Amino acid sequence: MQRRNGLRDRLVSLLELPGDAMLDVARITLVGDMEIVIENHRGLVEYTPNRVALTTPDGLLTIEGEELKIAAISPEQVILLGRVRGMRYAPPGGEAS
Amino acid sequence: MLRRLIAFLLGTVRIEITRGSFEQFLNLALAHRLQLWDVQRTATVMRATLTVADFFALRPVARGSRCRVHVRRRNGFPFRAQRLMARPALLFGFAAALAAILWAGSRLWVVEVRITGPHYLDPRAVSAVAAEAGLKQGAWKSRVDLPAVAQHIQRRIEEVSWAVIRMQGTRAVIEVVEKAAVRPPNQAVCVHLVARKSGVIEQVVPFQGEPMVRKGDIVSPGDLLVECAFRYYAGGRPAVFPGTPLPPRQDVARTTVAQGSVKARVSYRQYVEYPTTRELLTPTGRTETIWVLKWNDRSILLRGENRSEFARYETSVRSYSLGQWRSWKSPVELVIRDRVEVTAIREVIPTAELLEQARAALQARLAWLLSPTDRLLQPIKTEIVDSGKEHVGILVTVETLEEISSPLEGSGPVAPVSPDPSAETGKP
Repeated sequence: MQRRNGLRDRLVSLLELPGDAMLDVARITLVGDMEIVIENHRGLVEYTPNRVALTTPDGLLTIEGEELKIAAISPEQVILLGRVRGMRYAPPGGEAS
Repeated sequence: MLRRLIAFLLGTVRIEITRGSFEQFLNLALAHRLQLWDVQRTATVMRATLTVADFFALRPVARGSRCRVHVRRRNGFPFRAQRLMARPALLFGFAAALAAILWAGSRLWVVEVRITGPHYLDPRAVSAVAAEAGLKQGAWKSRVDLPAVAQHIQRRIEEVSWAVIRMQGTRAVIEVVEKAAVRPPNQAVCVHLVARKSGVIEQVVPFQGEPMVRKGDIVSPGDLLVECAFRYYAGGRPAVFPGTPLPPRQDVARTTVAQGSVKARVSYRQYVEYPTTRELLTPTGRTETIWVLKWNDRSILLRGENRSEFARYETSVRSYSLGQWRSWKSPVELVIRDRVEVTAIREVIPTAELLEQARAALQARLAWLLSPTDRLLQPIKTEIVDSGKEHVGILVTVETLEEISSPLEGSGPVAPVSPDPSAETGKP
């Protein structure tokens, strides 16, 4: 699996293809500190006004902030509004870093 | 914006979720392909918005996450429509207002004509021509073919070199450009169309000139039907448009040769008298024969007498000669005259025969008077008006639809004819 991903990474790099389209990764767009869009997520782990944790293909994504609100949630993407203070990634099986 | 509009049309529900695991609720909702938005959470409660259709699919999600779902607010078209249905008068008023706006907005209310050029052309003439092609006040905008109307104006009015029509809301602006070189007609030529028979006007189709009579008018011979003067065009080919208001008389500036077709109902009356009896001659059987020998200019009576003893007789003549050869003719000729005595008997003529005779007489007269395009409006009527002992008077009447106009050379515009209702028909 690891070998195949490495092969795909190299192919994308070689052909200069957009990684978000070719690779199975989350695409995260941050608009200032008030809006964050996470595409290609795998589900919600935790949701409180101060913290939102989402499963992504790359691991657990934790967003911290204040008055966090889910503006829209669908199987494809999550749009969060509020004041974003920080964002952390934890690889699958590991802790958030 | 589009998403909000779709959500409004589908109807949305604001729900409140209590108890259970909120995260599990959201994940199960995603697994069921449900869309949520405006998700807000406090310590004990989570609120979210979803469409009505998704709300009905929410039960397994709530059960799986052991959450309780309460509806807090309903919004959108289905709920508003439900409220409106309870107020039919308001709904009807809204629908009527909408229909009125749509109706009024889809029609043409103002037709404006803008002319560029020497201004020989009357804007009313352009409006009238546009109306012929469907561009008129009150017409459906969608049914007016603007390029076709512009082409019709250019084709119909020779003075127009270019025409375009612009639609501005419920207003149509016709912009025309007059030809710079407009030739005014010869004012010396002025030929009116006048009536050559009495009748009631049935149809007036002026090709050139101005009609002075309308359907239903009664005209006498010599009355003016189509005036050579025309008022809408100051130059070029004239045209008259029925239904367009006439400008004042003093505006008459140009003349032309009036042309047109004026058909009228003309009634014919003919009175004829016929004897009620006729004389029939019957042979009695008595005959007498005279033989005369002719020798050049002399006549020698060979047999019989010159004076007949019969009071009335009919004579038949036979002659015998040696014939002729080249220029020679026999000078001797025998002439035999046979006289047959006859007596006169008076016979009464049947009334039907007299009526048919009168009808045939008028029909023969009409064959001379009517042109191929004229026709009888009804069969010829016969009526006995004078029934005497020896003679009978028959009145024959018929009504025709015929062309009554005839050109009359004049010298400029004349006063219009006011039809006299007291005038009688039947004076062809």
